[in-house]
Amino acid sequence: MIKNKCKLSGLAIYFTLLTFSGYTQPQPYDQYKVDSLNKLIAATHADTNKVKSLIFLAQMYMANGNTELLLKYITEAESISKKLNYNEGIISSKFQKAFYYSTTGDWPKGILGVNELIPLLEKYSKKDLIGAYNLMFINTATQGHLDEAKMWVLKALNSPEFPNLPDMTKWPTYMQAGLSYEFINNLDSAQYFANMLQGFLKKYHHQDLENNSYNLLGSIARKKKQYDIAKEFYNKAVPVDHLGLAWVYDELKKPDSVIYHAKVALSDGEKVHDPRKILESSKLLAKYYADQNPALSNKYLQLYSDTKDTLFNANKLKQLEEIGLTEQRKAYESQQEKALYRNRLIQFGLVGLALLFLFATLIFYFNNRFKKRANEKLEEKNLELGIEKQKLETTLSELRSTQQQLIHTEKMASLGGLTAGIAHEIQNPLNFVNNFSEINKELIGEMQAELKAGKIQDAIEIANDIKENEEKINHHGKRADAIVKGMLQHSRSSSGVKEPANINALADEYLRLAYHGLRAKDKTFNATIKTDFDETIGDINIIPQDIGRVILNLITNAFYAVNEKKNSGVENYEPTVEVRTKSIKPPSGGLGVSIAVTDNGNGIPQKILEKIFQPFFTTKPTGQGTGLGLSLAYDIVKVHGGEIKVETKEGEGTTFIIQLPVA
Amino acid sequence: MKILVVDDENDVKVLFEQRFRREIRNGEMEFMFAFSGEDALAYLQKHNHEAVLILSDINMPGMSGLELLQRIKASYNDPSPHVIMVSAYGDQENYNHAMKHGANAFVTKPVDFVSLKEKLKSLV
Repeated sequence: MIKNKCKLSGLAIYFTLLTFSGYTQPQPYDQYKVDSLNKLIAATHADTNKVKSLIFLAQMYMANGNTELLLKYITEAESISKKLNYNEGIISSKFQKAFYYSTTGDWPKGILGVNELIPLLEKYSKKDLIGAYNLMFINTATQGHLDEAKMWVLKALNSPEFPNLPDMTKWPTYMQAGLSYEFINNLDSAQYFANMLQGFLKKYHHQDLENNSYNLLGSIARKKKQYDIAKEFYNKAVPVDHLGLAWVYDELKKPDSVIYHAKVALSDGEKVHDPRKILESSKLLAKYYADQNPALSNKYLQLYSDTKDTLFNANKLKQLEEIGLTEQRKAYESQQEKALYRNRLIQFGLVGLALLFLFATLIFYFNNRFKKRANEKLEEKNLELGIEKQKLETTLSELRSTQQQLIHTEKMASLGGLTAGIAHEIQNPLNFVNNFSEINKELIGEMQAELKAGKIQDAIEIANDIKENEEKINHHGKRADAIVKGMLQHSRSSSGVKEPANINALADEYLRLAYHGLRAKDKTFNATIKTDFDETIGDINIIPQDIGRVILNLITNAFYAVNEKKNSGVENYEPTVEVRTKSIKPPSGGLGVSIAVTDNGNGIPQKILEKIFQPFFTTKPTGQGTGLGLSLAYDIVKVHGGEIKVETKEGEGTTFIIQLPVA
Repeated sequence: MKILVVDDENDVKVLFEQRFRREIRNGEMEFMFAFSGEDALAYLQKHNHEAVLILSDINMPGMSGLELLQRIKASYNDPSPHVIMVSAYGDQENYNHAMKHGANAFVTKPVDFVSLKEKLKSLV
């Protein structure tokens, strides 16, 4: 616990002079102004101007360190504001009070003050919420609740109002963020915020900004063991940060310098009621006097433990309860006259509430004691989780690339099956092209002979034949062209772009390719092919390569199924595969097309029907199927917003139906 | 001489008519066309013994050329018509299969019409 606190190393010292918002701007003390304001206050009635003057006075006493007068004026300002229903005055005085308690180490009152303030700010002045969060940072950090403190900084940084704040209202948050990270020794992050502050330092000359920034910069440098730089920064702070310097010399093992600077820091701390500074400097002094002057060392030790008590002892917790309870009690007492019976019930409730509150406070207190240990464990777990996450990410990326490879394999496998079909399909049109062009050559010779002989009529007849043949050449040239294009399209990776395509032509092309591909591999294979294309469909918007692959896969499967049945020796069996397209009206509305591939094979047994769309599921012997065909088909159809269905009857055959919307 | 050409490619008809236009013109040859094995059998049934020679593609959907060959050789044997098989693949397996089932000749694609003409004439 003590060790934990030592790590805090004087948090509050940085904030004694912080400017949090317009409400808490400390004013330089000016006796002349004080006198004239006092006169003004005495002369004026309770109005908003009086409130403003009182607050202004309080702000001057804040700088002056006259806490009694400060609290007196603030309390007066608040009570006048309440009578006048002057919201700005209420907020301003509450803010000033919360600010005072928070920055002087009285965190129970600081927290209560901020808690009263927050609902008011949410209602009337959202941008000043950030100032309230800044105060909560101080209150939680003072107690050593670093995680909680960081939470408040993040809350301030993430406020929607934060980006719109003027620089001079922004920097305390950056400051606190820098400190949060400095205290948990995350120096890179601390440096990030310190750099932002240095940017401000170049633009503005503001004492608090300079003072606080140099403190932070000094501490970061000190933790990085750059002692000369640290000393330079601490010296730049106004007033010079003697506590920081004492720490530097502590690490450099220079007792005389430590004692000198710690003493100055102690008297500075006493002057501005900064318990942190007192705590840390007296601790150093006690340590360094321990050998040479034990009596003096004891004195400082006493001061240290007294200061620590005022900050952390149980009284503070009681105080917290009391403040909470008295205010609640007052509220209930005023109601007592109106409803005695109800009040009694409320009092029971109040007791319960008090017990609950006490219980919660105790839990809160003990919880904190174990927080650090829990945090350390948590950090360990986080580290482990981080490693696990990394491992999982690697596995995931490996899986992704494997998936890509598998898709590629499947595509190449289906393309391999097509090669012979493609060769056959190209061979036929090419034969026609060659034959007809040879014939035309002969015919042109004959035509020339007829023309020379003056037989014009015969020449015209031959010319007609030539023309007809020329059309055949053109037709078959285009046919070969389409096949090559289709093949290229199939091997090319999918464009992923939908384009208008003729589904009938696509189905017909793949039907032929699949058929001839199988015939090339297995000479005995044969099947009757039936087609029934709905010519009213026209072009529909699809990714042609992908849908082509789906159709090819279904057709290949159908051929496989009928071949299996034929090879099993069924009598009088005529293997038949049918492909039908049809314009449909899907239940989801709009227009659609259905593509059905039917075979009269053995059908799919009911027990494997559910598995057929699963990746790697195949009934083919090892090495003959990737088991990815239908799984990919399913994915592709889903991407098109369509559906793939299967109807099967064992022993009679299977029909796969794809339904696609016409976009 | 009547020749029945069996092929699933419709343009085969125009091609043969052009290639053999002289023979057709002077009545040397007469061509009939069937676009599937089933069509061919139906034609033969209707016009018994009209075709002296049958020229069939092997690779056709439905009844293949080899099946057609077997059926012809099984049903028509007094005398059975000459059957020439045509195949795009021209490999040994198809060749052996065709010869085993009584094919009279085997022609590979792309068809060399000059040698085909000689083959047809020698068979008559």
